[in-house]
Amino acid sequence: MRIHQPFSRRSLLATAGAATLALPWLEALSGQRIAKAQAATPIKRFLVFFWPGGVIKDQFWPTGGDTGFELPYILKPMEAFRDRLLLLDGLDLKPMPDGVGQEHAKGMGALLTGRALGPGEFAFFNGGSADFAQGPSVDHVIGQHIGAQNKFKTLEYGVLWPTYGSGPTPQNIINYSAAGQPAQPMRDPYQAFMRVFAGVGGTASEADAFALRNKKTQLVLDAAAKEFEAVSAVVGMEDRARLQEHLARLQEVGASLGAGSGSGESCKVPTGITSADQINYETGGDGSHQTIETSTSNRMPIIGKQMMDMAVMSLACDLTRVATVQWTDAASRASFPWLNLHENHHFYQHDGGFQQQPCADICKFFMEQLAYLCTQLSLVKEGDKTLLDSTTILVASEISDPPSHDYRRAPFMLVGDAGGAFKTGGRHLKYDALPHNNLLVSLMNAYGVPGETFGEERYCTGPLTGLI
Amino acid sequence: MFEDPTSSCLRSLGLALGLLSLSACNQASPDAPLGDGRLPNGKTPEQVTPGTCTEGSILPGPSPLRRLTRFEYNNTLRDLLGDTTAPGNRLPLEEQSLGFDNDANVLKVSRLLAEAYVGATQLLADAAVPELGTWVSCAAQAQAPGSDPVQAEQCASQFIDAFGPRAYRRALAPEERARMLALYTSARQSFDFNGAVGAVIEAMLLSPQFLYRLESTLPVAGNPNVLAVDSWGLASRLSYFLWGSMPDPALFDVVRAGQLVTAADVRAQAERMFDDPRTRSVVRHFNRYWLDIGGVDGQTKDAALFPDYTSAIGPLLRQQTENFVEHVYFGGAGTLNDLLTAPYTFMNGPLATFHGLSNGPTGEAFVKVDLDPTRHSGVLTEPSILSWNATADRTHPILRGVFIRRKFLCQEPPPPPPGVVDSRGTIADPNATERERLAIHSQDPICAACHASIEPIGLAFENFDATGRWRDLEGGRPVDATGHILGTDVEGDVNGAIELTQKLAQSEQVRQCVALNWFRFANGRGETEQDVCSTQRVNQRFADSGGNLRELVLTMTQTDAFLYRMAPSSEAMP
Repeated sequence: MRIHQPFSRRSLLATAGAATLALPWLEALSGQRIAKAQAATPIKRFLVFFWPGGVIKDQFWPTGGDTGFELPYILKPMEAFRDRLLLLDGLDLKPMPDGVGQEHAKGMGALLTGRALGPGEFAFFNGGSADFAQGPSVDHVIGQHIGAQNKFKTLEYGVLWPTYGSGPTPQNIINYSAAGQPAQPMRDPYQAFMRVFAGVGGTASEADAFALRNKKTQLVLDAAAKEFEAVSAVVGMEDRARLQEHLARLQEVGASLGAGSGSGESCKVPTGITSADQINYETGGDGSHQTIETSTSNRMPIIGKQMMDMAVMSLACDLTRVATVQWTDAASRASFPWLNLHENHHFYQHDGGFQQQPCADICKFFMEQLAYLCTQLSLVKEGDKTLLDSTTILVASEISDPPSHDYRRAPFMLVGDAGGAFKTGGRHLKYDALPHNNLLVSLMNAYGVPGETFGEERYCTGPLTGLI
Repeated sequence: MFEDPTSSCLRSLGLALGLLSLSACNQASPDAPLGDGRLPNGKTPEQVTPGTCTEGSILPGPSPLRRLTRFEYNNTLRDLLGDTTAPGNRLPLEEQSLGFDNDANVLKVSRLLAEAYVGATQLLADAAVPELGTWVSCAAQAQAPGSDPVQAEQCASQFIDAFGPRAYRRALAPEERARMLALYTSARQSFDFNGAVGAVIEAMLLSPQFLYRLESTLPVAGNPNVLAVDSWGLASRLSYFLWGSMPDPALFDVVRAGQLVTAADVRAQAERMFDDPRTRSVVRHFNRYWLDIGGVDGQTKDAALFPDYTSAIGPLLRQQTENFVEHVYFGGAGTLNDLLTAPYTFMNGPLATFHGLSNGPTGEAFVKVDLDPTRHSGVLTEPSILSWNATADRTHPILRGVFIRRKFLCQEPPPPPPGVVDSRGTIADPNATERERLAIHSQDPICAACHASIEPIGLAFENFDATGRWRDLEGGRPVDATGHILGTDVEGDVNGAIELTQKLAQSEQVRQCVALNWFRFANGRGETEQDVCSTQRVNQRFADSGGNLRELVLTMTQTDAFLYRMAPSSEAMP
């Protein structure tokens, strides 16, 4: 039986008609323990959990004291993890009003980069246009710093992304590797699986074959690099810049070939990962919910679960230390049939007139997913601790208020203290309209990246107080 | 505090290269940030001056480096290697600007894409290596165990000579050939003949000569500012424009015979190629993006209101429209007027049932279906467009109006001002019509400045419900589909989609906008001030031909933008 090398991908990918892909060798690998990594300095992980459209503030922010509060409706699903919560109440997405284009896009652009969108060619469905954000996102900055020895500096997992049927635009991207360089999320679970977990686990002979394949890839990449250099020498300046960027990405791929392919006492290759179009859109694939309509949106919970499982294991296997789980995109066209919400998300935010309870129910659904993610992280043992102990999750949305797209008091939350980098303990911190750039600075610093500003300096007023 | 916003809007509109801006709408929202209402290429209308195209001037505009799109990648690998697995579909999605997937100025290479290329080439090489015998007759012997390494290397060399020029779409330079042979030799130390040749295939498919459309140029007598694209380059420009793929053997032969040099040569080839079936897939592809119907496949509708709108319907609606536009281009008189007003479409059995057609087609195949000409009028009454520009249960006159402004008039409305809370749903009366829900946009002067240009177009389609099907009643009341086209060369009141589409069919602005979209698609970039010669030529020919779409496409190959490039010293121009 062929093993999980790229050679076998063809036969797997070609069987598009298969129901659930039967992958015996993956079954054999599940539960296989990988050699325990030599523990040096404690590893810190950073996760971003994004959902679009903001929150209903009265059903999200607790009332009462700074601790010991009751979790409101939307946050109730996180009850089991309340001691790890740090609610950050009073942060504004200050770049938004200065940005160009429609509000959702401005929020998306500013969220992880701390920058205002500038003019550009990407036209939005409801008018106006803008360019991509002109700076890296905080997860990429952190990943560059702490992920040098990992196969991937960051990983971006998308759930039902994109919802508009077109590629990356400033409206659907939060991750940026550099100015104007969107890092679009992986959109199909099976392809994500084949990319992230290639060569993970396996028998000794499988590992040898994988190493041999990498050896060839290295030769191939070196040869391709020579072609890029040769062509770069004879084209104009602008073309050369493009080719050099392309070459730099290829060289990153080459550099990652030598990175370890999965280690960690709890590293387990995820099972049951399927292609999105294999997931039944009538019931969500596992009969988990019945709806009165067939809709590709029905795939959302299953795709989300698979992407979250992979995010957890990509951290557990130390394939990366920084990951994003992005649920749909801003002004999302996804619906929620299993919640009996048959219009799209954006419709309930305001496009059909603001409807509070559907918005609250949608937010609660996303918090249930966050709770699942936290549960899975807490099930990964690392010595006498768990993966969740070494992680901080930045939980965020691109606007605060669904109908008005308000940029003030954005729903920011941290879950987990990354091994003590933050003081969580179920606290509700209240700020007086501080820039969220400050939070990005604090996050960056917590992972060892020095600096007092992040994004556009004009918005920054120093690291965020009260986090430690 | 504000001037009469309607008249401000009107005063601001003027023709400039067929582009119009609704930026004056911002006069009603003084807090709107800079840049709202700018033209799609980021410029304000004042920055785009029509310029002058004088006799004998050659103005090619910029020629940004063009990377293969996923569509082109699929087609090229099909034609190069016979691969039918559509590897492009597994690559990350293209950044899309101006509505198309091939805008060279915005395509980026991310880490994700680089990895996806590497993975894709491995599969392609694995599949190609067993078929080496179709490239070189020495393959079987070289592949046999214990084959003579010297003969094997000669065979690899022959393979590079056979495969390389097709992969790079031109003759290989000696250095390129030598580098690939060196790769083979190096790989041969750890891999067998197949493995080493596979490495060569992978490397070539990862190289810029394959992934980008690189061009050589020739000087132009008496004009140091421009260069002519050489014959190999013209062959690729033609084949990628008309077929979305590499040149075919016939086109390569024409290049080698020295018969692809002049504009007339290019035109002759373009005419031959237009009649090839591959052009149909490009026309479909263009229309899928121009009409923004790619997302229709996955859209949902309210199951209580539309129980027969299942997940199977979306893809069928898209195919209905794609078949319609293909027929307009290839099957009939082929004019813009047909596109906008023809009272027919294409359906198969399931669609006929969905649309309630009695005596309609049965079976899976799509066939031409005549429609009621008092209801249906061309592409804008296609249910794909009308359902995508709607919500799950309601019509969306704003989306429909913005769509027509942007895609058929090339006018870019600015986004809503910050802090606006859409009040559509706050009408207490659940029996309010969509028109009534939107009424505040015409009553409140802050909204009306821009919305006067938008809803009155979209509302003309109110007879088409959220699934794009005809309705006489909305909430028990007869539909009011009166509307108005503001500020164009066909300004005026309309009642219903027929009148609106017939007006648009007479508009020169619409004609120029359609031409502009083909220009953007053909050249893989937005228009600039320097494209005045190209756009004038295209607009003139399109008008003179009575809006003939085939003529429009063929004339693209006759423009300065298609045949020339700016000389490097001129490239610094904005």
